[in-house]
Amino acid sequence: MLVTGMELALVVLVLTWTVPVPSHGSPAESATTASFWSSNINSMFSGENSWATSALNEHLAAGAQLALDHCQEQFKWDRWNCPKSAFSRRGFKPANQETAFVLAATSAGVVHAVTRSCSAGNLPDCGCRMPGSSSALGDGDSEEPSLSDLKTAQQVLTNNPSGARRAGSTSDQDGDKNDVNSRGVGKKKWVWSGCSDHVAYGESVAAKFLDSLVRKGNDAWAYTSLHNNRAGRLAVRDSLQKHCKCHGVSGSCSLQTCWMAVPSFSRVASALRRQYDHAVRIDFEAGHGKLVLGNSASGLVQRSAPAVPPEKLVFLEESPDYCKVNNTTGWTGTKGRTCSRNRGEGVGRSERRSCKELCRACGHRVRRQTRQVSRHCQCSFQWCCQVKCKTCVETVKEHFCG
Amino acid sequence: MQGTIVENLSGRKLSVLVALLLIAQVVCFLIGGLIAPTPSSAYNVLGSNCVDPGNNTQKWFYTRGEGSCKNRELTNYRDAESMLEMANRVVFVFQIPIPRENVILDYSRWQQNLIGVLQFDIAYHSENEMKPRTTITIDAKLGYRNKGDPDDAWKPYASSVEERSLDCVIDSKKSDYFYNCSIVPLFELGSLHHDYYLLNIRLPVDHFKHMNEGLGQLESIYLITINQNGGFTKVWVSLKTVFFPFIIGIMIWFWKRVHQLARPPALLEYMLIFLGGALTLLNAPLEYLTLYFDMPFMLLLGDIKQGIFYAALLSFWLVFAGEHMMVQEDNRHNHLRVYWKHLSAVGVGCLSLFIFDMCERGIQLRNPFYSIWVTDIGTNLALTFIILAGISAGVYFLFLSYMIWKVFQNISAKRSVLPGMSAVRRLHYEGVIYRFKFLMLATLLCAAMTVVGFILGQVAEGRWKWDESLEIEYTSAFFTGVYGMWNIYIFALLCLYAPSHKKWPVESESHSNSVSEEIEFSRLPTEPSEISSLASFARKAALD
Repeated sequence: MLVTGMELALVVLVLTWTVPVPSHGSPAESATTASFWSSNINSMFSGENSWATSALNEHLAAGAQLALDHCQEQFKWDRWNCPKSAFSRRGFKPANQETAFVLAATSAGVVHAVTRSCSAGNLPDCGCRMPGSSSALGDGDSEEPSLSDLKTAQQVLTNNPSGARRAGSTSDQDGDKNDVNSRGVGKKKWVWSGCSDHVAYGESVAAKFLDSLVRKGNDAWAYTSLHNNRAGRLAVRDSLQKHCKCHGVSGSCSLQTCWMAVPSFSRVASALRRQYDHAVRIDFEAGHGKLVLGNSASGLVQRSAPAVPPEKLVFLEESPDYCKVNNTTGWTGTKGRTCSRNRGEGVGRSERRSCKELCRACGHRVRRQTRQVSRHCQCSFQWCCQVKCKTCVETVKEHFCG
Repeated sequence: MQGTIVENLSGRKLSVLVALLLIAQVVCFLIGGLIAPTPSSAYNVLGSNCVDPGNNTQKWFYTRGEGSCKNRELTNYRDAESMLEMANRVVFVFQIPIPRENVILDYSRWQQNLIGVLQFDIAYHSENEMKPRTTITIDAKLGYRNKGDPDDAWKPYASSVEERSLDCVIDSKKSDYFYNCSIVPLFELGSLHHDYYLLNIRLPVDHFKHMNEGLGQLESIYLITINQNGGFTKVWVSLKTVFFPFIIGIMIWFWKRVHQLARPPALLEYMLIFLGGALTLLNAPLEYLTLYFDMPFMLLLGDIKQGIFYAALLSFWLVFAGEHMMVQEDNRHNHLRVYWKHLSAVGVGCLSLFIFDMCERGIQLRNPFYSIWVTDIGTNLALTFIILAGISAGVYFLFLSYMIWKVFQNISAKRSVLPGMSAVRRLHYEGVIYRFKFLMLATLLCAAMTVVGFILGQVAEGRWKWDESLEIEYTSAFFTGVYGMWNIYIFALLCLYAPSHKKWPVESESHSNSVSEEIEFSRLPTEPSEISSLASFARKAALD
């Protein structure tokens, strides 16, 4: 009796967990917020600081910055070294492997940054969706922006000062009366069943804002962009680590609760780098590739049977020759780039091969220069701060393509 | 002239009763599965780093509200020299709960309890590598505030300087990669009486005491708060509220029946009442009181209630098997002291778990940051008690299995003489043995599952297991289902093992056909015993 009962209970649980949460986001709202933010991210990389006005926007920009930093770290020894301009939203980006990485990294960076801010309590409008609905985030087609997140994000973006102040103050009485109802519902849900983890909210923010930046044309370019955005979100989700704590009778494991810990972004970035190395080219015209054009007049893109796994990065066209200078895109070539002749353990493959790849294969010669560099050494550390360092002067040999 | 109800109930009535109980069981599962949310939920809270300008250990640092401190990135300090003092001035601030959807949340008393676990994000640095195991010293201070209080009116709840060990490993030694560190259980609150809580943590560095010297490059600290879900509490309490009067009612009914008999109550009847009492204790919905009073002892009380229930249930099974042993030494049975050997296994097991619980949750009443697992002596002590309990459980199970094997052996021995009896008597005995066996097997199955679950649960206890991501989902449905199962089981026992009041027609071998339809299995007129016909059957056989 017990056994059958347990099975029954499990079936029931599965049923309850997969009940979809209805969503009714309005496309008009999403469009305005998106354009607002897209203009801001432009300005962010052209040096203006107007984006810092909104809490959420700040975190979106922080996510993009995080992606940029780690992208440059990942591609330090490659011909393409992830220039800042790659993150600019200006101009049309060719759908090559590098753009795929940039899109995915930005997406992952936003998820990461928003998740972190939510956990710190800095972003008061973090959502409180039921656990279970978040699992749909990796599934592409079912991924419609959900109502509450969109609204709150919209609130922050449009009338942020009041929203931030309201959330920042801790006394509960100063809310306007219109808000009382929705507040009651949110709090009720929190008390009754708890809220989802912050990653789910980070994912929905990233999905909403970055996907809406993609011009919703029915073309392959839009398809690959959306796919890479999703791959970025999945990279964060896949890198989460599960931890559990037992707290049943006498602290036994008859009851245990688990949660997901967010790793450092370096881990996510190197996971994405691996995906970049194994990116899938979609053969668009031939029709026998991963993607075929629909035969309907609307020219809808359809996914054919061997669908690309969602975590893979996809691209449409081959990358240009990064050895060469390209004046239209502003690419300066590899001349003048430093390369590394470091060998030994802990030196990555691309670093070992950097002088060959960057210089010799591009027809440049490897030049050497020595420099005197002073740096901190023999420091004693504390957990937050390094203290009492000596200054060592070292002679460093540097190589560059000349 | 009566037996128990289970023997005298017609097959039809019995099946109706069993069907009803099964439906109740299914309903219990469905309530857990459909209505109740998961039992508890966990939230990651990222610590804000505040800097104590002086050495204000009395001051509260908080991150939201008037007079809050500013978060400063730890990375800013890294390159500054002579920052020796800085490490001692950084305060990690966790203000819970954190707001959601622009709503400032506060804890509801329905959420019952709060567990805090720390998680350290430590980045790899080639010059500051961490050992696989580091002892860290945490200076923790927990405060609370209620709605309507000023933003800075934090009142102290508990504070302590605690040592914990931190196990950190790293798979690829690249800078900015985090170590994979074990989680650090910090505190357990048995009551969630206040609205807001604030945790201030310092990691003091002292080179004379070698305090926190081995800690690597700390990037951030997460506090994971685990609280029971209000919805689960509500469903759970409702379940208890429903079961409570039912069990009390059936106990009163049972006891009335026993007292209507001419003889004094038998041991088995005392045990049944004891079992019912233990279940009533477990069913008492004390959670209602926590809505009005601060009751931090609820976790401990829950453990004790559960323990008493287990003790009662295990003792009952022993006595039940023993009373049907059919070894005739007349008055020796019917006394608890016959079972002292067997019951001492239960006693030792429960007592050692009780002592363990008092050492862990008992002391946590005084200091919520306390854990018996952090010191070597404490760990050994705790393990001793848990292993002792495990051994007792094993011994108990052996005893029980042996007794039940004995009973079944006796039954089959008696069965061989059945063909020599008259048709009515044979039918009677076969029926009784069948029903007894059926109930015995069901009980044995439940006993095995309880004990196995109990041992598994206790063995899995402990810090070294907490990190494992077990895929087993102990969900609400499982909890309500099992809880309902024991209630229904005991309800059925009280119901079916109550003395029957049916007046039998005076029966003899010659006119046994006059037995009414309602009475499927009648008793022998020659037997004066009132306990159960099986026991008397055994006695009869022994006399033969």
